[in-house]
Amino acid sequence: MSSEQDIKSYLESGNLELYASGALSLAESAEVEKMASQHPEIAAELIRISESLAEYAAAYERHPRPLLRKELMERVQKNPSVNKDSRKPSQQPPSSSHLLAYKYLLAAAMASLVISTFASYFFYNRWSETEDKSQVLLAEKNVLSQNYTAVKSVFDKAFSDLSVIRDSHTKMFTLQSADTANDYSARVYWNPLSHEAFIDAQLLPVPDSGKQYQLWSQSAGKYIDAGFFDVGTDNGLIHMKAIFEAETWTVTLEPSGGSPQPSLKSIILVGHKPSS
Amino acid sequence: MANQHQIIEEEAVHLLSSRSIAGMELIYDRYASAVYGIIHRIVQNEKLAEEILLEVYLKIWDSHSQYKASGERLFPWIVRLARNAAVDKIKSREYAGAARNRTVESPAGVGNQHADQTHPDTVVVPHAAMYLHEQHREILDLMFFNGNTQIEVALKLHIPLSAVKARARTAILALRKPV
Repeated sequence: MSSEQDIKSYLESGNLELYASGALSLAESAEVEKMASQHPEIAAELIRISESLAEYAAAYERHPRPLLRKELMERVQKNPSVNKDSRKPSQQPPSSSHLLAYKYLLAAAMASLVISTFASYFFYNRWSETEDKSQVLLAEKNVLSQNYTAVKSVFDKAFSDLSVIRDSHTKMFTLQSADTANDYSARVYWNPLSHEAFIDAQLLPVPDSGKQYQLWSQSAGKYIDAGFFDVGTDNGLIHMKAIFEAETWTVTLEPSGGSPQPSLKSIILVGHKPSS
Repeated sequence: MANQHQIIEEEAVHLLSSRSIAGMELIYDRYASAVYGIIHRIVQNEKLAEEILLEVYLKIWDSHSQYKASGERLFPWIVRLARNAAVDKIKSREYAGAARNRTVESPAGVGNQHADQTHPDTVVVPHAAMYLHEQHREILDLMFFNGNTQIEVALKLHIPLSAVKARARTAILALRKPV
């Protein structure tokens, strides 16, 4: 970058204003400082910008407690380098060039110490900020992935239930209370090709403890065990045992774990002809 | 006014380099209200602002020779020291949480609060901020007082980086226009 046009566009880029406002990173700031050191026009513009900004900031003036002035002056007085006896510049004591060289070396060493201390403080702050942000993001990510897993499993179940119901081979049986005093019902979905059987039992009451419902298929006057199931939480269709033949279905209430033969006295639901 | 500024500055720098406390008194009386105002606006806490004000002045006492090398005027240099010290403070860990929630307070309100006490020696500039367009003030405040980087400003204002640069430039140009 050397042509006048380039310098002009740099002056108008907004980078100098960002630099003076402290909005640039360390690397970006170094770039601006390099440009300013090479081009006096840029350095002069930077000085004008800092002045405008300082004047703007000064509009927020606020008076500190009067005692603060005294406190500051006392602290400065304690400083060993203070010149106590005069308000005039003191005479620089003559020193050998040797001593002077050491002084410069010491000053240079101090300066680089100060600069590196500031740099490490700066980078430490940046690092710890980034660290904090990444911790927060990580926590958010974990919550999101847990939510996703939960939603996904509900969705998968609903989708697979729906595909059972939508299958053209699936037959639906409606089961109703054997005792007409009650108004219970359930539906059985059975696929004669895949032999899969499902029950939708959300309208059955929770049985007494020690008891479980058991599903039976009926074919040629025989009861075939289709497995026992629990109710109470609505988890969609319950997958039962594979059934090869079914004309209709029955639900009985059995001791927990089910029975090999249905207790005909405790028939809860009885099925009718397939509705499809 | 610029000339008066310059004379005081030269005198102050001269006194400081001879390690005379009169130099400190001069720059304190001249600039402490402005410097304290800036620091207070950044950290929003009186006790902390006082602490930083002392730190900044002790730093000026210790390192005014760095100022001579910078080639700029004394006041902007002091303002930068103060701003950076205060922003460092709010960016350090214990203030990180609180700083994010700070709101920008109106300069007009702050100015009026002391309107009856101002006298020519303590007023560095007229309250230029009051005449600044809201959009311009917002971007300067986000950067200068709240310590945001250009990227953070772009994210907060939902504007592209190029717009941050352009807006920062027009804001400072607006400051230069005579009121």
